[in-house]
Amino acid sequence: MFETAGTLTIVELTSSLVVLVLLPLLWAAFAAVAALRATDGRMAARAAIAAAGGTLGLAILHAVRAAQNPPGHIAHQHVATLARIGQLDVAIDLVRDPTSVTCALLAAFLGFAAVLHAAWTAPAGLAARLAWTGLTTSAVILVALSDGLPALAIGLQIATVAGWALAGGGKSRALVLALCGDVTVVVAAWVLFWSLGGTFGTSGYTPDPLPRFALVAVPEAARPDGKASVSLNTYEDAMVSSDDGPPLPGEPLRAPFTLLLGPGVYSFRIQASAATTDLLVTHVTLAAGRSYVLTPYGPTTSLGNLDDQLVVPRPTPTGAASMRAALAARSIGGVHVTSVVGLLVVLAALLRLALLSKTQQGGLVYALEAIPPVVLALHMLPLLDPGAGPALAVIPVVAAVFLAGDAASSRSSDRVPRGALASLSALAMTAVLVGETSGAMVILVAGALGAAACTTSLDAESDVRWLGIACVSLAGIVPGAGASSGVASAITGSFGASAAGHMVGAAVAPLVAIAAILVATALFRVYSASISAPVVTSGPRAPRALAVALAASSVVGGAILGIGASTFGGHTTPLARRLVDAPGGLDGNPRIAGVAFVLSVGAAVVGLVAARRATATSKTPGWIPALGLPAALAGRAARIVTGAVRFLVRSVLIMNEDVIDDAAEAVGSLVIALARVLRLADAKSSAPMELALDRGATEVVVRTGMDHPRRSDWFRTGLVLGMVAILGLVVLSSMVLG
Amino acid sequence: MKRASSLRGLFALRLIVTAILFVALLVVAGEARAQEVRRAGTVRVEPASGGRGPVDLRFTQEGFIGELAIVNNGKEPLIVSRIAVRGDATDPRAPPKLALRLADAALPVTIAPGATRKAIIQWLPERGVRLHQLYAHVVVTTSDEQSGEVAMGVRAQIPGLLGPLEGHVISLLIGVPLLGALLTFLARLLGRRDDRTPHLIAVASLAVQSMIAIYIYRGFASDVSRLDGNDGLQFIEHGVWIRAISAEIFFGVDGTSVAALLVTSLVGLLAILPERTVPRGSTSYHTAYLTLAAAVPGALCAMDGLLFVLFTSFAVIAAAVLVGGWGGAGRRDAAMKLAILGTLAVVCLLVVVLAVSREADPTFLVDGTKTSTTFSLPELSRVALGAKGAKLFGAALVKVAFVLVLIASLVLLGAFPLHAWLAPTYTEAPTATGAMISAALPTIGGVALLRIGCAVLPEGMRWASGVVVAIGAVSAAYGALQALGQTDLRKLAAAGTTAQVGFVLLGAGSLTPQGLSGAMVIGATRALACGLFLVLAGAIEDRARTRDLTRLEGVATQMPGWATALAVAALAQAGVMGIGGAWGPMLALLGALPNYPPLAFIGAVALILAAAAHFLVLSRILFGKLAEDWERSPLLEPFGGRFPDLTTREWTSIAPLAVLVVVLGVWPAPLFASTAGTVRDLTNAVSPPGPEQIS
Repeated sequence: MFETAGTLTIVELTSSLVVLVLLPLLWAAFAAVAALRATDGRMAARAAIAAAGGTLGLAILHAVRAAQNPPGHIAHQHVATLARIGQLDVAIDLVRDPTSVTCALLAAFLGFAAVLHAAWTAPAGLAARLAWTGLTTSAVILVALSDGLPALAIGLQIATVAGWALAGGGKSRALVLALCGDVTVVVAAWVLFWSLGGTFGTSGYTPDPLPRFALVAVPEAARPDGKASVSLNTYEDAMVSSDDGPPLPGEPLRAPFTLLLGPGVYSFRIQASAATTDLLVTHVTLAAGRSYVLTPYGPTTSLGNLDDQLVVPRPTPTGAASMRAALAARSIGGVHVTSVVGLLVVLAALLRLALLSKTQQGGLVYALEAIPPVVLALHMLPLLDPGAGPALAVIPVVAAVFLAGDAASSRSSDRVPRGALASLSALAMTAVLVGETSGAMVILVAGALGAAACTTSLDAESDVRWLGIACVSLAGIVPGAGASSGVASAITGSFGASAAGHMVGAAVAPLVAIAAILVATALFRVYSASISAPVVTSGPRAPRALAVALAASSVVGGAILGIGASTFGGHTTPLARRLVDAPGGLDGNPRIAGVAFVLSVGAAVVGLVAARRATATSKTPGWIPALGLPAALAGRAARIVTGAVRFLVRSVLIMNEDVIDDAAEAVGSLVIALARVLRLADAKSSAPMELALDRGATEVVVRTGMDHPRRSDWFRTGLVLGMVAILGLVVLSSMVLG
Repeated sequence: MKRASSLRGLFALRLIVTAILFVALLVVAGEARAQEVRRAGTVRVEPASGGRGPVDLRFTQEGFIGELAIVNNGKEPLIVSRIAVRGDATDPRAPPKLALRLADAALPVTIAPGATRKAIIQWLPERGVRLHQLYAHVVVTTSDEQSGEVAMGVRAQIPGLLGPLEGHVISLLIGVPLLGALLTFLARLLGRRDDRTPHLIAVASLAVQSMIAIYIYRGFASDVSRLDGNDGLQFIEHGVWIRAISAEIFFGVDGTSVAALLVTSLVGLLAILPERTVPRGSTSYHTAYLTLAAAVPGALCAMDGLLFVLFTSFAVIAAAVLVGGWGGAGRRDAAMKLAILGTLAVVCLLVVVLAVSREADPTFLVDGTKTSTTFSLPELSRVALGAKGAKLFGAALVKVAFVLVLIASLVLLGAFPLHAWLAPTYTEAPTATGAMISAALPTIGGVALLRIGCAVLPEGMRWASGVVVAIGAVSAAYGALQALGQTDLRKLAAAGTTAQVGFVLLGAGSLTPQGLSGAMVIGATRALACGLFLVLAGAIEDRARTRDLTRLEGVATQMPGWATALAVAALAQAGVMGIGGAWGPMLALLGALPNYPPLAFIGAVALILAAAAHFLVLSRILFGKLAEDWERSPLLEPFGGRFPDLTTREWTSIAPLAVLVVVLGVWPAPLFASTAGTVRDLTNAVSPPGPEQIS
């Protein structure tokens, strides 16, 4: 009942990871200092560059360390336990795996670039801008490294606040959408939490009757010394002791620990906290030379633990059962719970893109906003049933088309890189959902760097050739460079889903291509508009150098991550695929891979041609504004919702004034009237003695002046002193009797 | 007019006289009941040292030791068959390691007429024991069938930092502000008629009170529950007060009150600290303020129903007096609303306490006196009211009583639809008073719901949990929508309170440990955030003579410190993750989701709307454009046409609150830890584990 076996996530000792938490903290510390002492912009800029550089250095260090780890090996750091209530374990946990470290490295790099850009362009209120930039970078790094809901939710909300502040606080609709996204993530996590254990019946939820902890035999880790090792790597600070039989050596043991025991039968009692009933793992057999891990099962907010539960079957009275199967059996309104959670997370991620596409943040910080949606999609992927991913992929790909159309129809060149990046971020989510995680990484890296390069070029009014290169990278027009292989992977993935029998996947591929066309159209419209302007070479050199570096990084980064031959049946696996450890669905099918590449490049070329045509004349063609119609419709829908909320607000305010306040006054009047009636009735029926008492009391009231306005102060004072006296009596009684 | 006023006074006087007569009648009746007929072989237990109980165990080398005398008052031999510590494994009542033995004999033992046998009571607390006190009953079973089981109270106190006062920490917490109140008058009598002296005395008293609250918080063992004994309470003070009516002085600290005590004390101190202009009639004002400061911890720590009602009513009266006496132009209306609704709450609570106590099982007072009526809340929580089929107003007692508790809680919390007092009080009260009331009354309301609604009336809570959650969700949404339409800073704080307390109801009604924990945590974080927000609103009002946000747009450019602190307070009120104020609502949502998904969804939407409302305010203040006419405003002339930022004195009050709000956002562990044991107790009460569940 308490025993099972399987391969758990390999956890590195926490002591070797102290610096991981520094990654988000360094920038956050700077932000705090800058906020408190933000008087000198130049000084703040120096400090910010140092903090950003330090963070980038640390991120590189972690990337190197992660690269040195054997495949499948991740490092995990428990930072703090915040609460342990019932089945809920709220902890700040960070993880260092290839995906998270790549996202963190990208965030650190973009943060560094944003600081340099801000310092060189020196906008007004530089110190405050740098502080918010630092906060955004910290938050995004926290999101990237998070291994649980608490850190993820904190990171997302801080990123929202900082993004809103960088945008100048305006555009409340974008903020509300982002807030909706954040809350939706939490709701999704809570739905998942309750779905991992217990049962929903007609009388509500019944907590989980299954064991909360199980002893997992780890197959790979054999011990040569003839002893058995028992570890508890989660539930930090929980106290473990023997439930019956002889006490364990050194008990109670505080988690995390590893304990060597002789073979035999043992029972463990785990005391997690006072708000949690003691957890039992009883009568489990330890074999000589084997390693075991005490592993929590059931509701969790830890992503690592969730992955473990999905991989290692849970012991039940009738034998081990897969958590995936248990989740598949649960539904909400007839929809599988995993699909509901997936849908919520996808919606949340897309809602967050509002901050990226709908605000004017200035600078390069907006590029950071592309990372959290992809991270969210990556976290959710392991949960989804086969088939659910491609079905859900329709949502982000449609959003990508909307966003790209909006960007293509935009009249402001500043908004185009944002819109294009938002669309690419949605495409990256699509790639994740169709199983091409590596493609998503390529799109994310090339897209974020390319968009930052575009903005820098436009701001610096520098050599338009580098703007062109950035656009090429973003649009993926050159095979293998920039986002090209990522977009191709997304198309390949959708073909793969279609080939696997999920027909929805077939609809995704053309939508990806349409999104790619629109992204290219948007970008090359800006490029074509800029190309006619004279080349500036006399401006400040530093911003131009930054534009060059970012554009080159985008092209090269995309190529390094995405280029490889395995897709076409060769032996060279792209770096991105090695990082995320995800084999492509159609590896070794060169024909389909080739078609996908042709489609992706072709789409970019079509976009380029369309952009050239659109800018060939001074008059904007009629089809360009039409591209923004879906987004305009969405905007109109948002306005209707806003109008409804305003109506509700007005109604509430009117209700407050006309009902709630009046009701209280009416009650007051009623009480006074009732008292008057009682008094009159009393006066009529009372005995002569009572009447005399009334007269006497009236005399007292009049003589003491309680009916006189000037004496009201005295009355008040008397009342207060009376209360003091009674309370004093209580306290004295307590001191004497208690 | 004069006649009407005097008649009103007369009416009040008659009420008081009637109450006094009623109490006197009860006293006489109690005495008459206490007359015992001497019987053959009659048992009496008393401390060996004489006097009434409880037996005070003294500290020796062998632990805490005391002696109990079992006296045979009758004319025939008395057989003592059992001496034991009251309680069992599922409800231990006493802390572990309490042992009993007869001094020189083994059970059963026969006591000759008129003779006495001594029993030794020994408590051997282990090193590092979590409970520093012992309150227990020793029960003696004899052949005296008419007396039945008799008991004697036992108590012990492990010495602490405060020496002999260690056992009276709550009394100190309540008594210090009362002493301050008396001193303000004494100073006036001694000729110190300036405004500064009462302010200084108030600050000093509240500072001492805060230090005591910190001492309690530091000394509170977080993981103590009822299974550890002492009813899961710490810092207990327990004595018989009015024996005739079984009223006891019973104070104790549990998870619902420990953080609230600290927060309300701190807000009380820090709110009054920067007060620039002392209201007229300063002595009375400070006396009333200190009375409120004394009544609040009293209500939070009261474990006796009557005491709880008494302290709550005094808190309401003191608050109404403060608002009505020293508030703004609309103070009378505000005070009237507060007084009327507050009285409604107090009356509801009183009816519940009296009705429930009438149905109590036979038990013992702390000194061992047998009683069939008790107001002790832990004792009342053991009564199976539903199974008894007790009635009140013709309906099931648990249901009626719970509805009354819910009404009282809604009023005190400031939840929809009984929140009419909230906005007028916040807007009309002096800054410090507003902050104090905002911290105090909703916290008491939350405690009433958890301590009486959940612990004493768990069947009622289970019966009405859906309604509680629904009211919570509606309150949260209503408050959020109200906040969206506000341009007045103080009204925004009121709307934010209505929204936040909605989550208290949402969490409490969820009957899950997560929800209950969230409800408790909101009590503390909301009080901090709202107190800070109101102090900041007062600071800007002092400078600009307005709280209108449309006039304060862009003020952050000249007051960055104030704006930063306001941002912290607003984000906390909005429930933004990473700032204190988010964890409670999040847990309440988690708790409500499995049983009431649609209502949890409304709560989630309310959270978004509340956040949007506060961001809207911050947008105006941080990023708006400051009106140019401020430069020419006579209000700013002394400061060169610019808004002066917070002064050092203001910072001393605002900085600790702001830091606490931020720290509790990223590190809420202390708050959750302090509630852990009580959450477990409440969960067991409202949602007992089914027989099929295993750990």
